[in-house]
Amino acid sequence: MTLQFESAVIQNGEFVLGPIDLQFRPAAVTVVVGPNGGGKSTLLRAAAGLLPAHKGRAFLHDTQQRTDARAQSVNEPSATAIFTDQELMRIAPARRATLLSYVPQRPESVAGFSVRTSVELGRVSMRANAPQVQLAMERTGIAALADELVGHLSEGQRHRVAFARALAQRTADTRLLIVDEPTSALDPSWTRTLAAQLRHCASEGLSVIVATHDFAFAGAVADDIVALAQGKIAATGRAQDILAPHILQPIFNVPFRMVEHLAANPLCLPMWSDAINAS
Amino acid sequence: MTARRQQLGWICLSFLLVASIGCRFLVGRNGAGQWTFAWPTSDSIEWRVGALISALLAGAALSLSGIFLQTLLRNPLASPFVLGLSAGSQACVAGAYWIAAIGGPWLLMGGAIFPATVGALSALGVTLYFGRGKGGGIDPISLVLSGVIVGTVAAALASLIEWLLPLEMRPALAGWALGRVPEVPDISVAVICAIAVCIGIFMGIRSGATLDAMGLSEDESASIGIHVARVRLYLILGSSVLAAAATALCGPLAFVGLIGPHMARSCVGPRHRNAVLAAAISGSTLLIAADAVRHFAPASTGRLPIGVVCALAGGPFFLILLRRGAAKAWMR
Repeated sequence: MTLQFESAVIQNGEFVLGPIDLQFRPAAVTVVVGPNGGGKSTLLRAAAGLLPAHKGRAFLHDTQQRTDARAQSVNEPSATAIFTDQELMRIAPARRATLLSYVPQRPESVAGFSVRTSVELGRVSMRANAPQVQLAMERTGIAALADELVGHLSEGQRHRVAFARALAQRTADTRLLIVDEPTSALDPSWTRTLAAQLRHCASEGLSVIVATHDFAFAGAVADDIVALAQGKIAATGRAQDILAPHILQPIFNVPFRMVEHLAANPLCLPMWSDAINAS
Repeated sequence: MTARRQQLGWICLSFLLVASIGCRFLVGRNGAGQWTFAWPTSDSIEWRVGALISALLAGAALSLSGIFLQTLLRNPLASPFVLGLSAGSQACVAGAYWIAAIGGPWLLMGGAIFPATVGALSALGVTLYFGRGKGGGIDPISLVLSGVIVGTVAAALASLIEWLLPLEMRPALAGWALGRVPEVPDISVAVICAIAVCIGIFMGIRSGATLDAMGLSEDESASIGIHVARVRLYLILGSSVLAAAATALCGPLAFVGLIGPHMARSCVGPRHRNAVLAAAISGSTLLIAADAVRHFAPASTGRLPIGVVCALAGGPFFLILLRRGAAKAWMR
C-alpha cells in the first residue's frame, strides 16, 4: 500500500500547498525539508488524513493478490490483481488509525495522566495490547517513567511519550508513520534512538515520513527527500541526489557544503561561518 | 494514581455523600425559626426527602455538565455557570413564562426543560463563537471571559423579562432565579433530570477512553481514531441538556459544576471511566451539603437562598484555580 498525492491542492487557513504529485515508497524513509512556511506540516497533516485535498486526490493505493471467486466457479482459478484506492479523508477515523500513526510537532496530553496512560491512548480505538504498550515505552526509553505524570516531564520526554503512543498504535495493517519535526526538542542521544527507530519501522515495511530542519539527521535516515518551498515541491528524489549543494542552496538561500562522511548518504550541511565572518 | 489511593478516594467520596445526606435529612427549622438537628416529624419527612432528591439530581447534573465541558474545551475553568449556560437557561425559561403570560399558560405545558435546553445551547454557542481566537484555536482565558459576559447579559435579559411579567407571576420566578432547592420538585423536570444524569454517567463510563483521548491535541485525537467532530457534538448536547435540566429544577446555581469535577479528579484520578461517576457523586454531595449549611444561617427573615451559599463557596475556588495558572498547567 502506498500513499499518493495526485495534483492535490491542500489549503490550511490562508496557506495553499500544491498542486502536488507525490508517491511515498513503502519500506523507505522519506524526509521532508524546506524553509519555514514552505508547507512541511501541511503536507504531513494531509498525509495523515487530517486536512482534506481541496482539489486533486490524496489516497492509499493498494495492490492485492486475490483469488477471484467467480473465476473459480467456472473452473478458471486465477489470481487477479485488484487495485483499490482509498481516499484518505473518506476512511473512518477508527479504521484510519489502524493504517497510519502521526506524531505532531507539539504533542499535548493531559498533565494529570501517567506516561503509561498517555501511551495506552494510542490503542483507544482498537483492542488493548499491554505487551505492545510496554515494548513501545522500552523502545523509546521511557519505560522507567511509566508511572510518572506527564506534567512532570521535560519537553523532550513528552515527545518520546508521543512517539511511543504512535508505536503502540501499530497494528498488522499499519502502513504509514508520520512524524513532524521530531528533532527540534531533542538531545543527541534521543535523536540517535529516534533515527534507529525510524529505520527499524521502514525495515518492517512502513512508509515513514519525517519533516525536519536537521540535515545531519536527514542524511542519516533518508531514502528519499521531498524539498518544499513556498507551497510547491522544489525538488524530490533519492537522498543521494537531492542532498547536494547545487540543489539545496537555491531552496534555502544559504550556502551548503559537502562533508566527508561514512554513512550511505552524503552529508550536506548549511554553512554559517562565512555569515559570521562577514558581520 | 495508585490503585490504593484510588480506593481511598472512592471511600472518601461515598462517606462524604452519606454524611451530607444524613446532615440534610436531620437538619431543619422549628416553628420559632431556629435550626434543629433531629429526626424529622412525620409531616416534614416528605419535604426533606423531596429537597434531597432535587439536590441529588441537580448537583449530579451540574457536575456532569462541568466535566463534559472541561473535556470538550480542555479547560479546567469551564463549567455551566462560568460559560453562561445556566444564565442562558434562566433567560429562556423567563422568556417562556412571559410568552405564557401573554398567550396563555398552555404554552408552558412541556415544562421548563425545553426552553432551558434551548437557552443553554444558544449560550454555549455564543460563548464558543466569541471565545474562539482568530486562528481557530481556543484560548482558555478568553473563552472564560466570553462566557462570563454571555452569562451577565443573559442574566440581565432574565431580569428584564421578569420585570415585564404581570405582578402575580413574579414571585415564583424570582425565587427560582436566585437558586433554590425545591422541597416539592416538579415531577416531569425531576424525571427528565434523572434520565439525563443516568445517560450521562452511563455514556461517560462507556466512552471513558474516548473522553480521555479528547485530552490530546485535536490532530492527535483524530489520528488515534477519534471522530473528533462527532464526540464534540455529543459533549455539547450532553452538557447543555444536563445544565438545562439542573437549571430548570433548581435555578441557576454557581460553581457546583466547577468544583465537582475537580473534587472527583483529585479523589479518583483524571481517567474518565472513574472521574465521570465520581463527578456526579461530588456534585450531589456539594449541593446537598450547601442545602444543609444554609439552614444553619442565623436568618431571622427566612432562609438563605442556596445560590448565595454556592457562590460564596465556589467563587474563591475559581480564583484559586486562576491564581495557580490551572488553565496553562492542564495540558502538557
